Amino acid sequence: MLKIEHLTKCYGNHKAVDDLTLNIESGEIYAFIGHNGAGKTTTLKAVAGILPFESGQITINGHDIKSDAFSAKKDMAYIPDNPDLYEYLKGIEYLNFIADVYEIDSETRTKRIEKYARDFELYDELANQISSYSHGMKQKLALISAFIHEPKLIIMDEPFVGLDPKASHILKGLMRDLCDRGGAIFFSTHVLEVAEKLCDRVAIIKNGKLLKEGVMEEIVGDDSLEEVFLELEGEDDVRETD
Amino acid sequence: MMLGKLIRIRLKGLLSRTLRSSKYEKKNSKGKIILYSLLIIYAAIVFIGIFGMTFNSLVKPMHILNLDWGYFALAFLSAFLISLLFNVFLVYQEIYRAKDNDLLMAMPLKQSDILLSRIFPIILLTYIYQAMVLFPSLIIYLWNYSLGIIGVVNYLVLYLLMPLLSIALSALVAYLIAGVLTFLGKFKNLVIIIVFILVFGLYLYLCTRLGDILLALLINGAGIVEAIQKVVPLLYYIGTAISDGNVLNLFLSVLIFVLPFILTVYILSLNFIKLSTSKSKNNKKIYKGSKLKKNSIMSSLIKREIKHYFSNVMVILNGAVGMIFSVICIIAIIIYHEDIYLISSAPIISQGVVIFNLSDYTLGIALIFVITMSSINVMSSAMISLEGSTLYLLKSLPLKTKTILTSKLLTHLLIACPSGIVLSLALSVVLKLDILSSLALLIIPIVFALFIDIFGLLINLWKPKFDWISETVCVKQSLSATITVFMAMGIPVILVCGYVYLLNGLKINLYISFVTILFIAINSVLLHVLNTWGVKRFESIW
Repeated sequence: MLKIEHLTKCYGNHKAVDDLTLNIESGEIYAFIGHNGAGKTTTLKAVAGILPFESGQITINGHDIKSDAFSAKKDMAYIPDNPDLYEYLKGIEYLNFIADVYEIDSETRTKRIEKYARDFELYDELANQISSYSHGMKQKLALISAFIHEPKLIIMDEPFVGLDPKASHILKGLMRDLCDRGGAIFFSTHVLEVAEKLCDRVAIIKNGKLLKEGVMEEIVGDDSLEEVFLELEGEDDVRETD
Repeated sequence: MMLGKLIRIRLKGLLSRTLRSSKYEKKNSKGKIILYSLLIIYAAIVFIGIFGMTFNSLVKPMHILNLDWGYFALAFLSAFLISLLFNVFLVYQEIYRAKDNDLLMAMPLKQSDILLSRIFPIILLTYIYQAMVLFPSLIIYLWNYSLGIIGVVNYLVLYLLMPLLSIALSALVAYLIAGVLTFLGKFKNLVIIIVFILVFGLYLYLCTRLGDILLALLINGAGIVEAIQKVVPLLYYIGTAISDGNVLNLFLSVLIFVLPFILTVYILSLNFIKLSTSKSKNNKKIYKGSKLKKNSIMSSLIKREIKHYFSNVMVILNGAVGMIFSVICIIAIIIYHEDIYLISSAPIISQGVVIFNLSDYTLGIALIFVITMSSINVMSSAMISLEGSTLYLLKSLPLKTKTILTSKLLTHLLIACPSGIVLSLALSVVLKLDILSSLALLIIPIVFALFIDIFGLLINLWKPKFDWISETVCVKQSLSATITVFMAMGIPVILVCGYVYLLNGLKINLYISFVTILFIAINSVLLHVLNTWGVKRFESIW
């Protein structure tokens, strides 16, 4: 579903992502973890077609994000770490705008918006301006907008931040549903317990380089993901000191 | 101590917001600084020229009427009104609606320090507005008559202190606006625009009636002087402090400038938290649900752009100023239609000889007028910057870059053209133009509106500004908006000078045709640049 091959992204002289290769298959929930500034958001933005990158290749459902961005983006949705939405629109106007962009017919969009908005308990609020929403409400709206066109791949940057426990639970259910229907999810998180319970595979990144990648159970073994993560970070620090 | 630091941070932020276009751009290039300096010099020349001409026409008659004090009072009144016009909205945004209010108020800072740090940059800006009026008026007076060192010193003292009164009054008006706006809800932007049109219309009306006012002074000078002394004594104090070097009146003027300011800062600092945290009274609505309508991608993008543009009144008042002026002009044309027709058909006579008939140039003059109105709409020059932190949305959605850019161009035209078209129609009717001329007056300004549209968008793509705190920065302090405004102001000058100095041998209609074809060709080239370089540029910015 998503192939990242030898991705390198630089900011001036600094390599934010260094020769990263990942493969996310259909049906997989894939966690992407690393310390602050490790290169997670840069990678996710490059995958979403927001950031240009120097070298490497990213393909979504067979479409190259550089040469065939339009088709690649049709198959995916992106949710950033901070839900900066169009504050001047009402919630319903924003969702209708997204539905227009994905060319969803009138009946389908009405049904889907109602379903997802009721799931996230945001339905009643859709008549109000987004500027009046709390951070959590904006995050819910961003999530609804990601699900309404039923994408094959969802890229999410820290999706659980700002969500109340019920909304987090619903989101986890929706993520699993999408993957069970043949979709895939690639998301970054610092909540390692959630990643461990929810994800099929995991990649750990540090200073733009991949430290470890694989099936969650194999990576974790008898330890917890937190222990593995801290151990890997520590080892790498020792290696760097040497 | 803390106040000094806050002011330094604020000024640094202001300067950085003005010059820097990206958070990743660490240094300002010399070229950009030179370009900015040239633009500022150009603006200064234009404004000083306009006010200089006005005061040049006033200085002699007022001196003859022994109303030198009235000349200075008028200069300070004009400067005060202009600064008030700009400051009311600036104070509202900077003090009551600044996005970093929460951050600063959570810190152990005095509220009066936060407030003063916001006021200080406004004072600096007010000096600039006032200088554009007051310095030409002083120079013109000194050119014609002598004033004496005390008069000049008093002039400078009053110049330095008058911004305090302007800010005090602006804060009061802005406070009232903020209070009223919380009750207006979704109609607030419309109400502000109407108020702005009315105030500006009144200002223009008074400017056009300057001759009548002078005549009234001539007939009933003593009575009017007495009335001014009674009703607006400050104007008399200012005038005589300068013309007669009256120190007592200087002192009284200074008191009137300073005391309201101190009182305002005191009262505002007491209520700052309440004022800056109060939200518009948006009654929460419950979504009832209905079948949602599907729109085409282009119409959906345009609707979004228009909603964005009209969501911020400061953005409209700065970016769509041509639309607002057009509305004022349409009203004026309807009211003065007979006078306008008479002037347009009058022969220009010098020493008893008809030099030329104005009617021969009616279309040309009307065109210059409508072109000026339609080209000073500079919405597209901020449309990329205004995306700000939501740019990722457009870039992550399955939208072709060409579609996004086209939607921005069309939005600009949709905002700029309707008022321009009505203005053209009104002029065609009032000037009794034939069908061909009417069509020309209708179509040609659209060519120029399109030129500014594409030009502004290209410049904004070249120099976008995403790290703003307030959207107003995109239209007031960005390089792209500034360059586009100057280009818009330059077009009428280029067109007139082109005819007067270069191609005056051509018949006016031939010149109009030539210029129109030239700009259609330029638009085609710019459109090509937008569809090639512009598309690549949009895809590389973030």
